[in-house]
Amino acid sequence: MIALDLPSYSRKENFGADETFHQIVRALARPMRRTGQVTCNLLGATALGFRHRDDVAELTRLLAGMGIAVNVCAPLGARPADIARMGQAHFNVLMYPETAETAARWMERALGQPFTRIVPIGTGATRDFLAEVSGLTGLPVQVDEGALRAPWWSASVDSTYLTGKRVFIFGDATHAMAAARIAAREIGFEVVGLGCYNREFARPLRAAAAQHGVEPLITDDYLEVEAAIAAAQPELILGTQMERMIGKRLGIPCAVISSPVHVQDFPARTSPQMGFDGANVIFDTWIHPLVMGLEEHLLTMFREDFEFQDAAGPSDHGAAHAARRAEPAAAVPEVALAAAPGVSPPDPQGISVKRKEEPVPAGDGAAVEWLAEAEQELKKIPFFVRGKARRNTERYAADRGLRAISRETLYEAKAHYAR
Amino acid sequence: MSLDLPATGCRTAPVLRERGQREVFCGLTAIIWLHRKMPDAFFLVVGSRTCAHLLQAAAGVMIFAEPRFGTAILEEKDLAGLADANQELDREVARLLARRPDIRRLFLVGSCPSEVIKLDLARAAERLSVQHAPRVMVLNYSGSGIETTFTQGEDACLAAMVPGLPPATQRELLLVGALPDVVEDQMRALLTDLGIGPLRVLPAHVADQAPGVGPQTWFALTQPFLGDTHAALMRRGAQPILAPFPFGEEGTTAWLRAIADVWGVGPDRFEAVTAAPRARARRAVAAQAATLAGKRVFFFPDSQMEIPLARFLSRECGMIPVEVGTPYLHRDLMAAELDLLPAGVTLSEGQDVDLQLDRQAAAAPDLTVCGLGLANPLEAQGFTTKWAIELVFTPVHFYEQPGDLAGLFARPLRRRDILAQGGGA
Ligand code: SF4
Repeated sequence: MIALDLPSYSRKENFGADETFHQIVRALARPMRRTGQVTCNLLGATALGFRHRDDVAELTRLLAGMGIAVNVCAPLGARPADIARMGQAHFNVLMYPETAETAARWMERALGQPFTRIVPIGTGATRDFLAEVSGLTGLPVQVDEGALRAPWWSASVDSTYLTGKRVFIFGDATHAMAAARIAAREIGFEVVGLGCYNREFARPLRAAAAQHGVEPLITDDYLEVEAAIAAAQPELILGTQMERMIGKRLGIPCAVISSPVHVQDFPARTSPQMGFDGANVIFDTWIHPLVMGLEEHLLTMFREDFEFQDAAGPSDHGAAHAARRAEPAAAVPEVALAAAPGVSPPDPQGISVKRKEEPVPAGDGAAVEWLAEAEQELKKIPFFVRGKARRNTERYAADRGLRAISRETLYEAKAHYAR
Repeated sequence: MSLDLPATGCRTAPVLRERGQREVFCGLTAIIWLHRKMPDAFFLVVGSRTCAHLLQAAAGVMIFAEPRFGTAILEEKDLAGLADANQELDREVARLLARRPDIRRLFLVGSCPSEVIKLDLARAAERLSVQHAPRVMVLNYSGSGIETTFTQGEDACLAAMVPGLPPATQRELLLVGALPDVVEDQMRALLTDLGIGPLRVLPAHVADQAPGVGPQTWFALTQPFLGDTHAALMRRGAQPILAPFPFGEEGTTAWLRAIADVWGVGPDRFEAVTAAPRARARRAVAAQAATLAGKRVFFFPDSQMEIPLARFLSRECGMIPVEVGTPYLHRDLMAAELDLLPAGVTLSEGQDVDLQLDRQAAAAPDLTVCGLGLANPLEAQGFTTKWAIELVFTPVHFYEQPGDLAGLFARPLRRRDILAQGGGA
């Protein structure tokens, strides 16, 4: 029996999990002789964590490549007897600081086990992590990067269009900070917002936000998050299920990067976030909701095509648009002359959904009026950048004390914000 | 060797002509944008499964309720004997048109296989036009890889429309080329503000708006790859307005000025209309030029936009063109552009891809502009590339877009820097 003293009214779930795990470890784990082979404990994984199951498998594989075995993985899947033998490991891998940092610190002091500080989410972080493990163990970094495709996928010209796409990142601090590094350095996005809901990690998150040149957002009030997202008008949100809902409301696509999660975030296939395989998974997952390069251009090119009304959104998912597309085969009916099955494209599926035009909060509350011609011109801009164009133009007008926005103002602002 | 060459410009510079293996898309590709520009048209490619796959892969991202293009696939049987193929084609066209009353223009698009078996699509189009008149006009052109590259598909399509255009009854300005809607609107606004008109556009959005053409017609190309259309319009007696193409602030101003001169627009009015957008264009380009200035650029042939783009990059962004390759060099259309290219640039026409790759490797440019087939292999070798097709799909003309145009070239350079700092590489 372990007595827990959790101030449930003043602290949040993560704190509760972290403190509980700490107390359990403290009660059961004892200094022990180290195993013959170099081993480690994996700390922090939980049953409801975002992709924790697969992260554990991926890290186990990566570490095995260096000749390191996993002694105990906890709390996920650990029994009291496992906790009791945690002291055998040579070091600890702190996978999720949110749920295991206090335990890791205690074990460092009481059991003499050093722990890793780098969370291996993303290509760069994984490489850094392996170097850190090598430093702790004296073992050389041995890793097969053969299956790591994300860097080339990102470097190939097919991904050039991703450059500078504006992303808003919110989640638990660990995932949010990792996502910011990947977004900015490995995929080439522009981070326009970074925040977390766990105040315990406010300090590192503030430092990360400063690095990316954005205001940190530390709050557990989803309305505040929604307002920040609406103001930033990103092209993509990386968030939790809460932000996914916000994205739906605002018409902005979202990829989930962190708990709290939904049953759909427990895919049947292996989909880690950590390690090299995790880097591949992340690349795919984040790119998927975006409008593809060529599609983006065609949407821009022919705004006035009657089939390109605003109801027609970007690719498959993302936000507020329904199935406007028939099956791909419908686009190119193949007419076999000899066999003569005839031109028989399937029937249209043109269900259309009106897309909400989001009102963008005006700069300082000063109402700037859009003249009809400017409003008309704005409609020619594809919906996925229109919010940004509207906001930039209003800011430009407000900065110059303009009361009304003309077509000219719209293009002056465009030139001003050209980058 | 003549001694009276101008000190600058490339109008008379020698051209490296190459005829070898090419790495360029065929003209079918142009259907991707043409079918959006003409919503009452249908493009029926008479070709093989390869052609169908090309269209599917290239345009498959855009799915619509009712398709505007398809492939009539020639099977073994058709390839063996011809009598069949014409009959089958007639039957398929009849079925298509019966199902789709919205189709007013039908293009039979020739391909490599239809050319190899010498299927006469011109005669087929005549025959079908008679059958389906007056509701549907049936035209034909070739988009085959034997005859055309990439943007030449648009040229062939527009040129095919010219003979059927009604005669013009008054002095008009005909603007030639399929532009993105937003750009077309900007162009119309600029010309209208200058007092120039009436304005007509080829291709017309819908069949009923088809422009007239005749000796009173003045025409200006908006795209540099429309040589055959240019010739077809000349045959109808229309008068060309030759100028640099409207890319960049300088090109746009020169293009507008040439038209304004024909229409007798005075310098004051010209200044009043263009001063503000010109200043904007220069500001927007300056934001990108920092990344581009002093960098060496190498163009593989792709869209025939290479020479105007090289001129823009060199004169407005401070880049240094090393080699400028183009699939086809039309001397008359390019004269004004070549005058503005710095001397010393290697101009090449056509392609022998292995030789050109050797030259590219030897030149080791900072930026290589090329098609998708070469871009990724070159990236993998460590070269920074600009995927050329994007230049055709992105709004890049006139005053509001030069910043975006420069940005398309700056982006891969910026991207390489960003990824080099990351965990990438
Ligand atoms: S026309 Fe020729 S080059 Fe083009 S897809 Fe068909 S077979 Fe290939």
